[in-house]
Amino acid sequence: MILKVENLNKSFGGILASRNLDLQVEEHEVHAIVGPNGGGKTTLMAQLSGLSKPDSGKILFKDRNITPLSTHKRVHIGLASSFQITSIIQSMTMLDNILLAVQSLQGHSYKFWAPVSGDAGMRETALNVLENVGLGRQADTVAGKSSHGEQRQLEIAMALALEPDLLLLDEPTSGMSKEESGEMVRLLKKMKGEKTILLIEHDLDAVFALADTTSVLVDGRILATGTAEQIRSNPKVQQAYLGEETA
Amino acid sequence: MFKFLENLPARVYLAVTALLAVAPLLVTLGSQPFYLDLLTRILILAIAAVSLNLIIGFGGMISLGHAAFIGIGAYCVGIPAHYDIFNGFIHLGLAISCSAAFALITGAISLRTHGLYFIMITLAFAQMLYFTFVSLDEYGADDGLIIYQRSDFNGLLNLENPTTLYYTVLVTLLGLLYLMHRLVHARFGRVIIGCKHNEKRMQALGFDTYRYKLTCYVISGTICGIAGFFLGNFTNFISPEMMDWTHSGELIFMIVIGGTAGIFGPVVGTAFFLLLEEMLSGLTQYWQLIFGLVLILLVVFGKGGVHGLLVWADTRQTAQAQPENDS
Ligand SMILES: Nc1ncnc2c1ncn2[C@@H]1O[C@H](COP(=O)(O)OP(=O)(O)OP(=O)(O)O)[C@@H](O)[C@H]1O
Ligand SMILES: [Mg+2]
Repeated sequence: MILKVENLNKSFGGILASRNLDLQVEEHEVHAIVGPNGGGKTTLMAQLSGLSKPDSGKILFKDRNITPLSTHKRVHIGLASSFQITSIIQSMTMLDNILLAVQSLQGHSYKFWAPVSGDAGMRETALNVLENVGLGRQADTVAGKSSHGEQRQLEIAMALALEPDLLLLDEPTSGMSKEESGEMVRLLKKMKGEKTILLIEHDLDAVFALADTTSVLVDGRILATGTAEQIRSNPKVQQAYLGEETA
Repeated sequence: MFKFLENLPARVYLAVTALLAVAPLLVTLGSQPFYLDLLTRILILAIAAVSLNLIIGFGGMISLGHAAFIGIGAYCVGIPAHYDIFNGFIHLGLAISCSAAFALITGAISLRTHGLYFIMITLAFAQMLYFTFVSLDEYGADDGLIIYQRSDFNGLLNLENPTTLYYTVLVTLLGLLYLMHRLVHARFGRVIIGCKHNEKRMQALGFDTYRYKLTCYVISGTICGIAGFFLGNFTNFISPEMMDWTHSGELIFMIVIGGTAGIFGPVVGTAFFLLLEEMLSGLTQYWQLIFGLVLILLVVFGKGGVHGLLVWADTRQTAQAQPENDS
């Protein structure tokens, strides 16, 4: 077990975005989280990445309590995230965006003299990452000027470049066209088995194509966890979530 | 090697630098020593503006308290001089360490906040310092102190000579610009630029953004302290007024006029600001009104400042040179 969340609580004013939330992610699995809008999925991710602090509860990563750790420290023990709202550096090229991640992996950046552009090794590493996600030819495109789909790919590539042991993906296909999201699913499938991925996804077809395990998050609570079959046939889930879609 | 000269901003900046390098000669030929004074002031404030642009233009930390560092640097000349200590190494060493310490302490607190709060808290710290010096009767309080002798570098540099002072400041400014150039393209600079655009993402990439920003703030404040060291020497006078917040505001105007995206922009902005002020104040007693209007027009219509304008002209030129560029 690579990640264990115990009794997580987080409220915004009167809204309980996480309530007594428990979750476990096994090594090398793709674990999907589905649930209705406003169910607390992004809030859960924010607490896992450290950008948001839980009111109470515990997060164990590789058997270590990381609840008090800040975001940047979590990255360096192998936890990387990509966001539902695209968070790339718009004014930089795709390559420069990835270079930031590569730079972060190589220790501290209190280096004031040597230009980053002169570092061939870093450049090659970054180009490899871009090629991996199918952005090899857009390396020198300014990120903000590329298409929405490409920006989403870059969003994920930045997390991938951190070579994490656990990858947190919040709706990688958000806002994508049918083809674009098909492309994304293919990309994620390539990583299946190698990487541990915790994935939030609205598109159930994508979820059932990718996930080994699926958890349903409703009203800040995990309603059920299991294989695609178990989830599909779970009456509680059908009532609370899937039912709405098929009805 | 000279490939960078293909770009218009680089050519303009090189021309400006060349002009600054021969300026004392021109001034002597025209027997207009007053202009050397004006140019020296421009160069000194350009150092301050370049330092401010490091945190505003590159780091996105909008400080309204930068004049505090000018004051610190200047008092580090004036206070020792008050006790008949004229050693320049002591003055400069004090200016650097005091401004670095002030930046570290105030930055550590200010950088816990963001946006408008950051602006207000930097302003508050600068005003605190201002009122502290206003209350120090020993050092002239409101009226300040006259410095009877400039920093003495054991005879290595005679700052009493206006031309020597001018070239010392010019060389410092050019050295600083080169340093900035290296810094913003190095790993540290990339992190700072990233923080300006998306600090949360930078954290999610594994950067301790608070520390990088604090380091940047200390570098900026220290450099501005050096500008203050020169200003104290240049004016032979210090007073709390030097750190008044209006001067911090003027520095922001200078970098906005020059353009925050480049390294050289603030230099051009400072020159423009001070020359315009000089010209208009000679014309009419209502000059401040016109000055204000020009500044407003520049900020509203001149997006990206002089630097932005040059880049725009450059891209237009290249676009015209190669009208059809399909591939
Ligand atoms: N910073 C915040 N301040 C106040 N309320 C918040 C904040 N963030 C989330 N919420 C609330 O918490 C609840 C859970 O939001 P969250 O974004 O986690 O849902 P989600 O499952 O990711 O939804 P979606 O599928 O739309 O992305 C919502 O009611 C939301 O309005
Ligand atoms: Mg969400």
